[in-house]
Amino acid sequence: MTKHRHKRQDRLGEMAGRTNPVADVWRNFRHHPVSMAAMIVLVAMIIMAIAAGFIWDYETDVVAIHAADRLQPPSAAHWFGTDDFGRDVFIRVMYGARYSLFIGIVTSAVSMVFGIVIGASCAYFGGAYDAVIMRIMDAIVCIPSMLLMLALVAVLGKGMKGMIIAMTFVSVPGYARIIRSIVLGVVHQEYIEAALASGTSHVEIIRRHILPNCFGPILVDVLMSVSGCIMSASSLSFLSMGIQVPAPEWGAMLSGATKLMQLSPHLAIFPGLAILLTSLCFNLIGDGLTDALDPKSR
Amino acid sequence: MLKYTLKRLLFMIPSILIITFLTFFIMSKSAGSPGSVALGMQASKEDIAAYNHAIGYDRPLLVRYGDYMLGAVQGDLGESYKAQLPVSKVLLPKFPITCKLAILAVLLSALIGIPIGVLAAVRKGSIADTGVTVVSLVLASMPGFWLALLMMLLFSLKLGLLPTFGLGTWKNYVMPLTTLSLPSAAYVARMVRITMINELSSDYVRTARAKGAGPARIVFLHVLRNALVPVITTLGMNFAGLLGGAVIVEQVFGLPGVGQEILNAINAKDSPIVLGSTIILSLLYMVIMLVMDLINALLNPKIRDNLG
Repeated sequence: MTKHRHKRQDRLGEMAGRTNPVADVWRNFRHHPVSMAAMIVLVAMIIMAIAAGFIWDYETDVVAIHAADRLQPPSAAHWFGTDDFGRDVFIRVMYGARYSLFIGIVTSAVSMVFGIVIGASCAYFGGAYDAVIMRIMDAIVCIPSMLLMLALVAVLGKGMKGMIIAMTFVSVPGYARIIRSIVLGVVHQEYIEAALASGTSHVEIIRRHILPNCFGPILVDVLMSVSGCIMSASSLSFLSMGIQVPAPEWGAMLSGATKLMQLSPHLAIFPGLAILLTSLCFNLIGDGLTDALDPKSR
Repeated sequence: MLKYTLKRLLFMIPSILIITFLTFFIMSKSAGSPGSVALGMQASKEDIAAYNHAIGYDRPLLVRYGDYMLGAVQGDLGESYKAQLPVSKVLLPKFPITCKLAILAVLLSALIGIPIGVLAAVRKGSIADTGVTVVSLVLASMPGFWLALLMMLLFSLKLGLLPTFGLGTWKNYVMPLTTLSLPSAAYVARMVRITMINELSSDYVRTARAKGAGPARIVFLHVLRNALVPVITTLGMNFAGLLGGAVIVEQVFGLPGVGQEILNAINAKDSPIVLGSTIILSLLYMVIMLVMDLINALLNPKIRDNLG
């Protein structure tokens, strides 16, 4: 009964031209089984990452050395085995989700905010301001991103903060470009001119009329970029330019595993699987959202 | 098209100025001075200061930048602090290995990715299509170095087929090349698939079909040509990216290429090497992107007209 009523209300809303875009997208997204599964897995991982801090004590369970338990293969006591310091790999992988998820989400969100400010203002004001800023953005894109990140990390200091700033710096130009082109598509339409003529302020026009139109495509980009950021972060840590050992960052754990692969292949497998699963979830959700935003493209 | 090319080449000048200034600024903020890098940890403060004064490092940043750019324009990229050799002498011998890797990896990714993408698009919705999508998604979510580690585990440690480290025979290139080309082949396949599916439902395909063109003719003569435009741009970007971004693969497999040299220079705070390689690689990037755009223009008259 209620389902029917909802449907009718939706249709009535549509007829009146009052559809709720978020509800539309959500309805399409729900029918995407793989993306829904990815979303559930991701939510479980976020809960796990938060809970890990309460379940295990960082000093005693995550980084403490247990010489007697060195390099044990996976068993009932240690699901993912132990590393060369006798630390439980399962605990470390679970705890490591905190780093990757935090870095991935924060970097993408911060880059998006900078990208929106730069891209939208360029598209909106145009002229010399646009030309100069976009030239700088294009120039940054020409520098190989890995090189630029490594140089920035070397200057800012290895560790979480330096890595997030470096990764943000590298990803802002891409966002600025995309958002600029999306906004350019909207800004010259008549209703914007009408709003301007009726005395609405620039900030208000950007906020009320322009950003809502860019919301969907930007959200997809953000989700895809979280997956990219998680991989870049683990790559930097793998090169020991990011999160430093003994912290259980997945890339740093894999870096330690390279020397021990002959003896203990399990060390090289589980942290990598964790990276794969996390970024796969973000990619799948992004994919589902692309379809949900534009069902015709399927 | 000549006018367009010249315009693009001219536009590279401000870009290079921005890139070099940015890198110059970043590297000047790093902790070491040339004196401390060249003379080592044990050197006294006076010696370091004297060294810095001798090479003019104690002048203001902008003066040093101007000086550097004057030299760079004449092809002089300065001298490595550590090796005490001209930057070009240090970097150039590293390029052949990296170029070889990058060229082969891009070729492989095109040779694998394009046919698979076409197949998936033509058989849209089949098991093969789903398989391509799944594999490419998994590869896109996997950091390159982990793929490298997994292959090492299987082919070197378990089966003993391939060497894990260094240069020697062609066998040394198998895993690095796979690591570099497989994810990019997957990306190319996905892109070809999506563009082909869009193109296949367009008006000109219907017209061609109505005029009696067979499916092979439509796919290879009409659709693929248009679907290749974004692919060519991507391949160009990949190539340029690989020249500087193969750091990790070079590190994992112990290949002495440009990436490894840059990583070492960054760790040693050897700014001239970092600056020099940034200039060379960004210039290469811009030139490659220009060439790709020109190739696209040659393939596609519509783009050619837009260039003016």
